[in-house]
Amino acid sequence: MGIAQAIKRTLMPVYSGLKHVFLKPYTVKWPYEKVPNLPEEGYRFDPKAGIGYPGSKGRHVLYMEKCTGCGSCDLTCQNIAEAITMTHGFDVLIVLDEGCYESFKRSMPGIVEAVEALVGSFSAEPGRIEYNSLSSFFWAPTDTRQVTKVEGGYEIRLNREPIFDARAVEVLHQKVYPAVEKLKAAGWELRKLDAATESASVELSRQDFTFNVLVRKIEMGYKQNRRSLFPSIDYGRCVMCGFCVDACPFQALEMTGEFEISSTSRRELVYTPTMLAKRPEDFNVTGVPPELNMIERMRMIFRRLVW
Amino acid sequence: MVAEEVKSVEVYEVGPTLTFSMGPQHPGTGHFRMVITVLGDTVVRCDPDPGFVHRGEEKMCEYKTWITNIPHLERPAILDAAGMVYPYVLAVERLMGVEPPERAKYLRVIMAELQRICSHLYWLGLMGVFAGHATMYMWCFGDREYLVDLTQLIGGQRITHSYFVPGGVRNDAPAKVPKELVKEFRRYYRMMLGRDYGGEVPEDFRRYALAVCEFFDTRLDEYYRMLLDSSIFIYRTKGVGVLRREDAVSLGVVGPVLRGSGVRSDTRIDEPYDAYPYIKFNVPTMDGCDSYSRMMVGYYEMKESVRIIEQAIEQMPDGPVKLKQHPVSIRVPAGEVFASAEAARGQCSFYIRSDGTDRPYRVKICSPSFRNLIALPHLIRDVRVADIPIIYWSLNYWPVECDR
Repeated sequence: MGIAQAIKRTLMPVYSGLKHVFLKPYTVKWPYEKVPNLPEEGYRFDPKAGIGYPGSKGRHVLYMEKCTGCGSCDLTCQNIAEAITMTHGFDVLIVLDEGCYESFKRSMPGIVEAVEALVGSFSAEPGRIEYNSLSSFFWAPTDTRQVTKVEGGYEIRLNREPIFDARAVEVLHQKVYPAVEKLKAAGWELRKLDAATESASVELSRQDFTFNVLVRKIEMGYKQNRRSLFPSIDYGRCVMCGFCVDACPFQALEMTGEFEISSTSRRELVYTPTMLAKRPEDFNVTGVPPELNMIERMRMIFRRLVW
Repeated sequence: MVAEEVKSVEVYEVGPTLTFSMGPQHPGTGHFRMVITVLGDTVVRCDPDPGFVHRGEEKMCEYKTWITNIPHLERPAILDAAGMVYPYVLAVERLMGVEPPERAKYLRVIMAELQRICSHLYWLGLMGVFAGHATMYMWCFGDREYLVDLTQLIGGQRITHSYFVPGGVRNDAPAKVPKELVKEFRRYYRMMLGRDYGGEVPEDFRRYALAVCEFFDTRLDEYYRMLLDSSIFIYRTKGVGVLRREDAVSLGVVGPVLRGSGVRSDTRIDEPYDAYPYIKFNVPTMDGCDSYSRMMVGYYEMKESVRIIEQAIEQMPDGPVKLKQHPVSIRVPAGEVFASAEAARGQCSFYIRSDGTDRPYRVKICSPSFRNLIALPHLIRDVRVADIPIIYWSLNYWPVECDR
């Protein structure tokens, strides 16, 4: 090895590195800047031709008007990540008979306590931040707007949005029983009436008050899906392989390019059918994000212009 | 066990030795432990201790169906998912007695070579880090973006794409590339190479992929000037961790480690599969037998991979990309089969036995990292402690792939 080669081997790396000092940095400051590197479409599958179309494998989009609730996606995913569960939508209702409702309207302390405890357990639904603390104001005992009259009594709907779960009993366990535990301490007695897949109910009684808490399946009203059974996807488990899309015989599932689905809690990663049904607006946005302040905004725009 | 052996070393009067663990918290790549005995600054003995990231992939294969095995089989080597799944797919196809369509063969080759480059870039980048040259890492990962984007355009995901299935590939390559990406690539091309791309960068996928290949080939020359031909790197790696030709053959190492010892052995040439027989490429070998040679083999392999991708894109015929079959549930006749393919780290082999049901009866994976691991105690002996990372990483050892 000659002297010349040694000098070349010492200086050449410095030279080739030093060039880059004078270049613009090519680091992309995600999420403030985004790289337009995604395919324009999401991955989808044509069951007739038996072939997929190229595209991003991001979060799914569910076409509820096509889904028949056959569970092919669930079956496939059970072998991969166990992320998909077939779920019904449920309403949780307090059913009061005429006498109870009259006492409730007249603010009799016993029944009001019970209803308030149940309502309280639903006031902050998981995954959502309660911005408006006044919302509890509308649940005042004299408020009758949430109450619907049915045959032989009145129903108070506790949840604002449908609760999706595989079985009604699970809803009862997760949503209703925590509040019931408190009521038990106050002397209420619990009696199980019905615990099936599609509906569940319990009876609460104390002295002269007796009312039911009912978990009832919501009929979505889709002609092709009479059982109202739709997939929920847990993105804490999903590996985004897209085999559920392949498995769907009705093209009801597709994938999109949306990949920014991180969250601070495990529960928020479970996407319900109604969340899946919403298409992400435009997942390949490259503009300046709106949450930046003026100075950062100008800097970002300036960086773009200089390139 | 280890303590007893250390005592025996002391009995033979080599002086006061010290035994310590390197790892298992990520000694570079993945969880893996080396029990190292040193005498002063010289390593007397090295005991590799794999198994920290054992996932039971082989057992898992017996509980999942033929197609749903694919996503989890990619996970042992995520940077080289195609290389890991390739032999599985070939084996299942051989069991079924089917041949994928011509276009699918080329698409598979393109995907496998793209991932080989991505994996080798990680190897080269981290080699830079281990040699105290962090710039190399940044460069490798900056340029890797455009290759990963190609992977995403074809397979939908950046690394673990689940693109290969028995009977072809899951989807065709796209016709168009997003406009924004093309614009970004042009800008990057001008910035990195200091000149404009000759003419308009096309939005047509074929021509865009060729443009990326051309760009990357030019960048590789820059890497050579920057790291591989620099005196510091040469002093650190030349003559370090010598694995002689006959030792390499008798230990049974594979891939770049074997080729770095001067043996011309490559599954793509020896037992060609899919579209490799129709493509002309060299198998680079080096006679230095040291860490430098192994790294240079990796470097030249990237150059060859670019050539393979270019040829595959030009030769790719039109037509279907998948056989007519059920998308997720296929039935495979009973029998047993062995298939191997060249993954980024060497020959990866699968032995599969089927009893005719919808899932395998037994799957045995022989991964390249596991076969290269045996060379580690032979190489890390009578070397300085500072050379351990260099030798370790010159084997391109990937703990997860080894433990499966």
